[in-house]
Amino acid sequence: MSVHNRQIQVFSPPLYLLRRLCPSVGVRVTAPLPRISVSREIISRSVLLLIAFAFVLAMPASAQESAITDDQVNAVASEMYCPVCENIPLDACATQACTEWREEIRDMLGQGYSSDEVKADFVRRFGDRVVGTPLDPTLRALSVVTPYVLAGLALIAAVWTVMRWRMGVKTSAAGVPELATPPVPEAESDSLRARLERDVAGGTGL
Amino acid sequence: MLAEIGVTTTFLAFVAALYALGASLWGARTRSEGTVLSARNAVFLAFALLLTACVVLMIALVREDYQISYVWSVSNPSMPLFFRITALWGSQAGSLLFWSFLLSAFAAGAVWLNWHNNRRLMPYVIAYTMATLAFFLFLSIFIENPFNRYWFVGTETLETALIPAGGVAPGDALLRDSANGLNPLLRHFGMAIHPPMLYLGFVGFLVPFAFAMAALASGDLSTNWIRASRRWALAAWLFLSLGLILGGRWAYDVLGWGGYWGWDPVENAAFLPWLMGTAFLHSVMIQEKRGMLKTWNMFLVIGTFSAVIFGTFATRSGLVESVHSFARSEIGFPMFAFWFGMTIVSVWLILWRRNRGELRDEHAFANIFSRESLFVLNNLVFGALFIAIFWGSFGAPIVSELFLNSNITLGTEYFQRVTPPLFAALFILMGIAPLSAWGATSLRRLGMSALVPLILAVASLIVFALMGMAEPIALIGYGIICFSGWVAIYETYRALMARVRQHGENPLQAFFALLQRNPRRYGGYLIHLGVTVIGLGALGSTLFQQETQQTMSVGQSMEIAGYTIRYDGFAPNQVAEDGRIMDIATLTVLRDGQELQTLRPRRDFFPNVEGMNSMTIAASRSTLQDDVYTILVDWEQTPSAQAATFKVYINPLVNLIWWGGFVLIAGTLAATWSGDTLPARSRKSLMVGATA
Repeated sequence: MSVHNRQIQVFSPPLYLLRRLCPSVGVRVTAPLPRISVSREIISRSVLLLIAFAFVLAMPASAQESAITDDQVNAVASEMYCPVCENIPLDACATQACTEWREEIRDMLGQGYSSDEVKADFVRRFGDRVVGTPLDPTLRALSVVTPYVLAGLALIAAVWTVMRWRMGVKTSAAGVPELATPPVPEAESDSLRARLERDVAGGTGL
Repeated sequence: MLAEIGVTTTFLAFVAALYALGASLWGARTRSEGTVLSARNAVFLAFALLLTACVVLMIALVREDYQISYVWSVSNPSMPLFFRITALWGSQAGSLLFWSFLLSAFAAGAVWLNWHNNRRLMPYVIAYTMATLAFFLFLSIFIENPFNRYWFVGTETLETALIPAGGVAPGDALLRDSANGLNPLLRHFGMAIHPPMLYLGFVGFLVPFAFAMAALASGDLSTNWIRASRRWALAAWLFLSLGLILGGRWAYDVLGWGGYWGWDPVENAAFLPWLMGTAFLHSVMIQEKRGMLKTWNMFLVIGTFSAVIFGTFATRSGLVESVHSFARSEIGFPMFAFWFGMTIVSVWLILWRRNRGELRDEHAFANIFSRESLFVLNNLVFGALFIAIFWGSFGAPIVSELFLNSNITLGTEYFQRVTPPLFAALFILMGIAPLSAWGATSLRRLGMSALVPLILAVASLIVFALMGMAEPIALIGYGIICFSGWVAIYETYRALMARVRQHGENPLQAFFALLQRNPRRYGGYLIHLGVTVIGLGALGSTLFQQETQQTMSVGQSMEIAGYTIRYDGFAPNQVAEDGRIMDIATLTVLRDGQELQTLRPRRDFFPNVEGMNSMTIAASRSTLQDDVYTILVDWEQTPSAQAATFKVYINPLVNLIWWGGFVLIAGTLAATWSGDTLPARSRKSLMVGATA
C-alpha cells in the first residue's frame, strides 16, 4: 500500500505521551522536544512511561480502536484546496502534493486537532487560498457579505423602479398620452377560454 | 504544404473580414447598395476561407504532419482517428481557429437568412460580426497561429515559427517519436461534443448582439431586430445549455470527484452568459408584446455577449486556473482590450439613443402581478445570481489580490451559501409568471390559477415524506421545484383536454397540435418542465449524496446506503491500443445479497504525455433512482494488489439532470420551430395595413 494502508493512529493523552517518549513509534510529532539533561531525561521518561502504560491499560477497548478514517480526513479535505492544483477540492485531487496534504490532515486529526484547527493551521502556513471561504475576518466579510449588499442594492433599485412605474400609471391616469394605454381587461386577458381559443385558433401566446 | 495553405487562407479570411467591415460601413454611409453587397460577399468569402483552413488543419492532424507544432502538441502516433479529429479544438491555437470558423458561419448564416427582410440593419450587422471575426483572426494569425512549424535554427535550437530565416525542418522521425499527444482529460467522447456546443452557444449570441447594435446604429429601433434575432438567440441558448449539460457529464465521467458541477471559475464563466441570455429571452417578450423595456433589453443582449467575451478572456488568458482552462497565453491583454472596448462602445450607443428619447417605453407597468412585472422580477433574480456568481468566481479573488494583497479562492461553500435562495426565487417565479396575464392580474385570480398546481405540489411532498424524506430544507426545495413543474404540466394538460373535447383528437395528437399552434407557449412549458427535472436531480444529488472511502482486501466488502460493494480483484499494467497503461480493479455491487453489476474503476497512465498524465476513470451503476459511483483511489504496489482503497459515492436522482436536459432540448426545438416569426402586434398592424 503506498498511501492508505497505515498504522492505526489514536489520539489519547497516554499515547501522546508514548510518542513523546519514543518519537519513532506511530505518527510524526511536529512539536520539538525540550532539551533536558540525560539523567533527568531517563527518570522523567521512566515516570512518563509508567503513567502512560497505566492509562493505556485503563482505556476502554472502543477508544483503542478509534482510528482516523479516510472519511474523517475527506470531510476536512473537501473544504480545502491545494494551491498547486486547479480549483479541485483536496479530497478529490489525485496528485502527490494533495495526497501528502491529506496525510498531514490525518496526522493532525490523530493528534486531536479539530477540523477548524486543521484548516486554520493550513491557512496560517499557506494563506487563505487553501480554504473555500477565507478565515480572515476581513476577507470573509468581503467575500460573503458583498453579494448580499449587492443584492440589497438591486432590491432597492427594483423598489425604486416599481415606485416610478406606479407614479407613471398615476400620471397616465391624469392624462399624459404616451403612458395612457389602459391595462388589458382582466376578464379578457386571463380567462382560460380566451387563451385556449387563441391556442386552438393559432394565435401567439406566452 | 498544408501549413502554407492554412496560413494563406486564414490571412485572406482576415483581409476579407476587414474589407467587409470597411465596405459595409462605407456602403451604409454613402447609401451605396453595391458596396454593401460587396461586403456581404466578403462575409461569405471569409466563411469559405476559414472552412478551408479548418479542413486543412484537420487533414494535418489526420495525416500526422508533426512539423506543424500544433499537431505535435495535441496528437501522437498512438492516438485513434476520433481523437485526432477532436484535437482540432484540443488546445488554444486550434480552438481559436475553430471558434473563428464558427463565428464566420453564424455571421454568414445571419446575413444570408435576413438579407431581404432587414436590409436597413444588414450593413451594421456585417460590421459588428466582421469586427469581432477580424479580432479573433488577428489573435489566430499573430499570437496563436495553429500553422506554426518547428524549425532548427543554427545547430540545436528548435523554434516554432511560420518561416524563420535560415531554418531547417527537423526530421520526421524525431518529431513523431516525441509527439506529445492530446491532454488525457480531453480523451473522452463528451469532449467531442461539449466544446463545439459551448462555442456554438458563445458565438451564437454574436447574432442577437450584432442585430441590437445594428438597430442602435441605424436608428431602426422597432422590434425588427428582435424578430430577426429571436431564433438565433434561442439556438445559441440551446447550444449553450447543451454545452453546460455535456460539460457536467464530462466532469462526472472524467474528473473523478463524484460530481458534475464544482463551481469552478471556468464552469461559471460559461454559466454567466447563460444566466444573462435566459433573462434576455424572457425580457424580450415584454418588448414584443408591450413595447416596454427597450433600454433594458439592449443592456441584456450586450451583457450576454460581453459575458461571452469576458468568459473567453478568463478561460484563455490564464486569469483563472482550472482543469477546464487553456494554458497561459499572450492573448490576455488584447482580449481584455477588445472586451472593454466593445462593452464601452455598446453602452455608449445605448445611452446616446436613450438620451435622444428613442428608447422610450410604449406602455407603463400597471400592476405588480402582471406578467411583465413578474418577468422583470425574474430578470432581477437572474441579475442577482449573475452578480453573486461573478463575484465569487472573479470579483473577490481579483479584488483581494489587487487591494488586500491576498490570494483567495471562493469554493463550493460560498456558492452553496449564496445561490440557493436565488434559485428558489427563480423556481417560484417560473411557476407563477405563466399563470399571470399581460397588463393586469389580481392577486385573487393569480391565487385561483395557482391553486391546483399548489395542491399537486403539496401532494407530491406528502408522497416524499411518506417515502422517508424528513429534512425541512429538502421538503421546501422540492415543494418549490414541484410547484413550478406542476404549473407547466397542468397548463399544458388544460389546453390539451380542451383540444381533445373540441376536436376529438387523441391526447398525443392534441399535444402535437398545441405545439404546432403555439410553439412558444408550449415549447416554453416543455423547457420549464426540463428545468424542473434538472432541479429535482440537482437537489437530490446535492442534499442526499453519500460517500465513503475504505481500504479493502480482495474478497472484502463495504456497505453504503443499503448497497454492498465487494472487491473482487485487480489487473495492473494493462496496455491499451493507444499506449496508455491501465490499472483496473473489479468490484461487484450487491443489494440484499443479490449481485447487481460488476464495475471496473481504473487509473489510466499516459507515459508519453508531459504534465498531467494520469486519469482516474470512475465506474458507476446508473439507475433513475441513484448512481453507485466508484473510484479507485490507491492500491498496494504488488502484482495482485491484495489491498486497494476505493471511494464510493451514492448520488441519488443524478440521472434526472441528463434526462431533464433532453426535455429542455425538445422544448427549445419546439419553441424555435415556430413558423410564425412575427409577434401578434406586428402581424395585426400588417393586417390592418393590408386591409387599408
